[in-house]
Amino acid sequence: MVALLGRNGAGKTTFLKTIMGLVRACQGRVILDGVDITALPSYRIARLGIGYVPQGRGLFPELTVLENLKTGMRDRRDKGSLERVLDLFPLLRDRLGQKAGTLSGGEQQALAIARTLLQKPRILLLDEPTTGLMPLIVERLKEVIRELNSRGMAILLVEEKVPFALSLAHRVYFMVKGKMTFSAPKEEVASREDILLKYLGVQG
Amino acid sequence: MASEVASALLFYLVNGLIWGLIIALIALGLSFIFGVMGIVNMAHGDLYMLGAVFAYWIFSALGNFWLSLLIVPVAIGLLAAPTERLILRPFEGHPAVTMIATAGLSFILQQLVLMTYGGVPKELPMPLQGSFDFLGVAYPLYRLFIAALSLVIIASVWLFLHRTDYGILVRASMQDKEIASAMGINVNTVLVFTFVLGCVLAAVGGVLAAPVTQVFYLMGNDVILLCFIVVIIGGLGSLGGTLVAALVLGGVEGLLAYFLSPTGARAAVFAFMVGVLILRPQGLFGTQRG
Repeated sequence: MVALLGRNGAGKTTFLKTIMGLVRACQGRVILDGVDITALPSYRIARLGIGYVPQGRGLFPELTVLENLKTGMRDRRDKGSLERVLDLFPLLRDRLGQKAGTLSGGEQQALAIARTLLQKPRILLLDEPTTGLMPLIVERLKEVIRELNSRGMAILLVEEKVPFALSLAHRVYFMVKGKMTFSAPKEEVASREDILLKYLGVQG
Repeated sequence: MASEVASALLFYLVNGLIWGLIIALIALGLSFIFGVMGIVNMAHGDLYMLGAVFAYWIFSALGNFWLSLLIVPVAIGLLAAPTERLILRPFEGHPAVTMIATAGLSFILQQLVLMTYGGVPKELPMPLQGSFDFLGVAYPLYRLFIAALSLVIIASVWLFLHRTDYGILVRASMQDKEIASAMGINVNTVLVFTFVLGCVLAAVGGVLAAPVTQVFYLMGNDVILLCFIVVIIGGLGSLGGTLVAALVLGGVEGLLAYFLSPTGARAAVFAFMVGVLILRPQGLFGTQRG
């Protein structure tokens, strides 16, 4: 699991969108398993195994929870996968018929991740997943992300809460004005305040 | 005397409601295309016209009106799919350009029909003879068939959108194309499907209306105006609102036609639209944007 940190406007979200094919790259390439996927449409990138949980959750607010979940499923009769994801987020089980736009922030984030997991991604891109969540929910989210990673899913986490990112990531990358300027194992970042000060302007 | 007036009013009201159902079919297609693709299809009325003209041709060639209900949706689908791919998709994300492109398409379709079908309005015989006694009013059977089939089609579209997996993908794309694509949904396929379905609905409206109206190359112009009113009053992108608005307008125009001239009734409908938009700019069933 890697975390991508940077100040507001550094280009973190644009970077994730570029990987997903939602923003066209001006230069550089996106390589997956040795194959150049830079020019592929985003639905094909998603089908290759990259899951994206956007900033602000990106739910379909007028669709029910179950309908939102179904948009992530390739095989919509695969009840087993649906059950496994609902086991991971049991709070969604009682909300299946409810419109996504009426859920609480924590429930919406759970739904956004659950929907993406139903795509069975190998790589999960998480953009600011803790925004607007209560501390209790953030802790639960941390457990889920850790569990997904322990199951072998690669995770790229963009996060503004530095302690949250450092508690999860194995390696941390820093972005400044659209460029990766520094990377280090999380232990090194956690132990050196000057790094956070230099790249984020904050103290650890 | 009073019962004669009541019978006449009932006749006009039912007439208006049935016309409203045809308008609902066409406007549903318009609303559907706008909701999913963000395109205001200026040629939508001409697809209604094409449906009626094709029905006339099929009847002339084969002597059977009912076959047009099978052949026209396929023919219009075959025309609509490449239109989306070749004329609309290159301008995706540029609504003003797609409006101009579809206005151009409207002129092309009208002139092609003028060249091949001619400029003289023609009529089709009623495919169903007989009448139905409805509260003392003898009502033509074919008009009731129009009402029944329109309701079946509208209900089928609703069921498709809300009860099928592909319907979920269409509604998801309607709400956020970018996220839908990131979920692995091939939005381009959804767009083609939506455009074809919207066009087919308009054409089927044309087929159904052909025996109760005059078939000619400009007949879409009147209808497109009414459809815009219906879609605006119903709320942009609201399918339920479109149906209700079409029925309300059809009923109101039908009733007013008893008291006023057809032009006067149409003017009253416009006044009604202005009133609705002053009170609810988002339409009766639309949600406030921005």
